[in-house]
Amino acid sequence: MLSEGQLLALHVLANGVADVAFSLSLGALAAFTWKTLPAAYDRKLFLLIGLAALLIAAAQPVQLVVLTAGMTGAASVAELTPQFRDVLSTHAGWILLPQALAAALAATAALIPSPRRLRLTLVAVSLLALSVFRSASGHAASDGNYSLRELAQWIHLVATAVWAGGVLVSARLLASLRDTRLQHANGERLSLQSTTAIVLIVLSGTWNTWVGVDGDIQGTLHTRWVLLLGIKLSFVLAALALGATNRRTLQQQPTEQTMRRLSVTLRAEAALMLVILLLSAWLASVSPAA
Amino acid sequence: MNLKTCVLGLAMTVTAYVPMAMAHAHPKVMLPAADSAGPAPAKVVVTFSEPVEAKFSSLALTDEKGTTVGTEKSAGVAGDPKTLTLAVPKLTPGDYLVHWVSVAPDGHKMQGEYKFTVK
Repeated sequence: MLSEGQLLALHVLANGVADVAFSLSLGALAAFTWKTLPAAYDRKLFLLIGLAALLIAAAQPVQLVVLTAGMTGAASVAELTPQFRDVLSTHAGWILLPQALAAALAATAALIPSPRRLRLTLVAVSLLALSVFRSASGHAASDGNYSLRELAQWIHLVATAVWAGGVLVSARLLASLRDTRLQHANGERLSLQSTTAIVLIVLSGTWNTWVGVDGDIQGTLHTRWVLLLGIKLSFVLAALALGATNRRTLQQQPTEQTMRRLSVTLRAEAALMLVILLLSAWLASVSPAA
Repeated sequence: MNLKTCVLGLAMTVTAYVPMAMAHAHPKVMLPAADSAGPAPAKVVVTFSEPVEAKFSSLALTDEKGTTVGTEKSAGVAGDPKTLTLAVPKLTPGDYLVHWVSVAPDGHKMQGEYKFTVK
């Protein structure tokens, strides 16, 4: 039997793992476009994408269990099992299937060796499909498929994943590079990528806000949900401040000292990103009316 | 617009959690209306703020004693994914509670109740 608290924890865990893995896979894919990394890093990046995609695929059955328990109130395996078919006939249920399939395809393409160009194309197409299905699994779905709202949600999801994933991947990559000029070049690519992503996040977030609140921000005040949102915002602002610090560091001459400083702040930013992604998963599980 | 509203608006914009905020279908139009008093209705109709999954959403009616009224189950309305109806037997004068459960397309569930009076 699952208690309400255990169900919430499972929901946050499944969402959190999927969000972090999705960010890692897009962050690693984006790193290929920098063209500043040594060829030896290809294997590591493909391995990271493959493992992250496997995690996303594995999270889908867990999300189905959590969704079924939430929708039906069933709390034991015996009660849940007969409900799966009905839940899979709903939008929230069936959209888990193509997500699992796209993630499995991305994992297969990333983990099975093939010519680099073909491998990258297959991974990119699979992750593109995954991102489209993920954007259709949230509230944007209420406007129907292929709506402007889903497009805005897709831009927001991808930009967020590229920002968070880029930081997470770079925190590890830059530390492993020995050449300071190479570190600097990759840091500059990350900075440009993050800035572009943040602009898209703010634009799509503004649009989502405009449509979502329907002129009633006041209606969501005074809730626990807002408190959680406030905590998340403080982490987002801290991450933005660290990003700005990294940008200033990159404007200096690339020396061992400046690159060490960049590596330290990048790791701190990566830690913040993990917290932000987990808080996002928590927010996704809490009713704003609570 | 006060400072708190501005901060919340900024938070929602940057973190894009407004969709989550509104990701729950709540009653928007109720017939009979909440807290209203009037003649006995033949059915209860609730239109939600967004589409609902009819299979997992429901309406139920209880009287002042908490006893369920009628044996009919609520149903969706063809062509209107936001509305549920519940056929009810002839109601005697008194207070009644409509219990609603909604599941939005993203799987989020909400429930609540509202009162109306039959004169």
